Amino acid sequence: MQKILFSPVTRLSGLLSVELSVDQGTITEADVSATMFRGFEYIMRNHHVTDAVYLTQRICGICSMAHGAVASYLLDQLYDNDINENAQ
Amino acid sequence: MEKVDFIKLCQDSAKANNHELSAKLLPSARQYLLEHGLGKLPVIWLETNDSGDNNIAFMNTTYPYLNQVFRDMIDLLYSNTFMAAQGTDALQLLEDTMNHYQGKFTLVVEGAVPAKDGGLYNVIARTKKGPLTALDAVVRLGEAAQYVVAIGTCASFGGASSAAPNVTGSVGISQVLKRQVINVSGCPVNPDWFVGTLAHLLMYGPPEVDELNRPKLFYGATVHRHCQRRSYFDNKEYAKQLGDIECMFSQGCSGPRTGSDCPYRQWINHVSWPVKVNTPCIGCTNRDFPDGSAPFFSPLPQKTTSHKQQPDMGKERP
Ligand code: SF4
Repeated sequence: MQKILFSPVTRLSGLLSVELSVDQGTITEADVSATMFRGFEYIMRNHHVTDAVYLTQRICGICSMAHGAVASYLLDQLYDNDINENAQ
Repeated sequence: MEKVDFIKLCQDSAKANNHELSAKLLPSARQYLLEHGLGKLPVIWLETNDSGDNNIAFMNTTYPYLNQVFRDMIDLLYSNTFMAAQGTDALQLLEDTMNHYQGKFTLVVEGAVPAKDGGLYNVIARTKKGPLTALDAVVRLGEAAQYVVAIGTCASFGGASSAAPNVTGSVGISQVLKRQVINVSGCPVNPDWFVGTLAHLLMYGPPEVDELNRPKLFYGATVHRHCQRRSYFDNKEYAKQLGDIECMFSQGCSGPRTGSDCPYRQWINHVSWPVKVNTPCIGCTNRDFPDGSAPFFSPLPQKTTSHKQQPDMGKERP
């Protein structure tokens, strides 16, 4: 069995490595690792819930908009806000 | 264009409404290189603990556009995001570039460096010899570089990656290097701040910096000083809720203690900025961001961290 380490995988945001196990021309195992850890799960604790709108945006610089928007939809539910479509 | 004129150009854009800085940056850099027989700036760009927001913001550059920056200003020799090479090929390129441009390349780091547990929370690449951590790479490349530029608040001061409880022990890159680091903070950075700093390095070497090692060109005045809602603040007319047109000090605005030129430079091709779209400044260029700005919607005196420094209330307003 042969092992192939492919790292770094480029043209992406963040860091990625792939390790393959190849047996007679067939890939038997593919381990993909994103080799970066910041611990946002811990950062979010002990914050006022409204901070989520800005903090979660920092998870990803590409889809930050989605994180922020979902956080604010969630707050609307929590606070029972009835916001008209225009304001959303 | 000589240095004094360039600095004047950067600061004059406070008054201009046609964003002359960006429009004049590329022709002047091109001209300068030609006259002085200089080449492009060789750059190695490392991504460490961050969210990739700064390279996205950098791609937003207009006048010069991204392709013009690549064509006329910098030689991007290694970048996880932009390069075509990958795997061992990419690592070979990094090694070769470092040896070939020893003492001549500019190291750009995007992201904080996790210092805990031997730096294992950020591995730039896995190799047969073991993991190449961000900590190793930044230290090694940082020592070999001519200039080191921290892009974004994570690289500058730790930023969101080092927010409490900071389980990874992330720090700004100046904490792991014994040399000058130019901090171009912001979460993300405004492309003008970064491209402007590159242009300055290219033509005149390191720019003049403030006490946080940021180019004075862009961080010299507070957001509050030039904010369009400033007259409301002076008249003590505060927004009762988000969406009101008055000053958002009451809604947690960090503008009074945040150095940046957002109100007039603005974002996304100079179109808008937070206060203009009814969201308070969250102080993203600050050394203590995000912890020092939280809770984001509480007025400054009620933020978690008690700010020892009196906020600049704009007394020196011109
Ligand atoms: S507190 Fe904020 S909204 Fe009010 S004037 Fe200052 S920067 Fe503008």
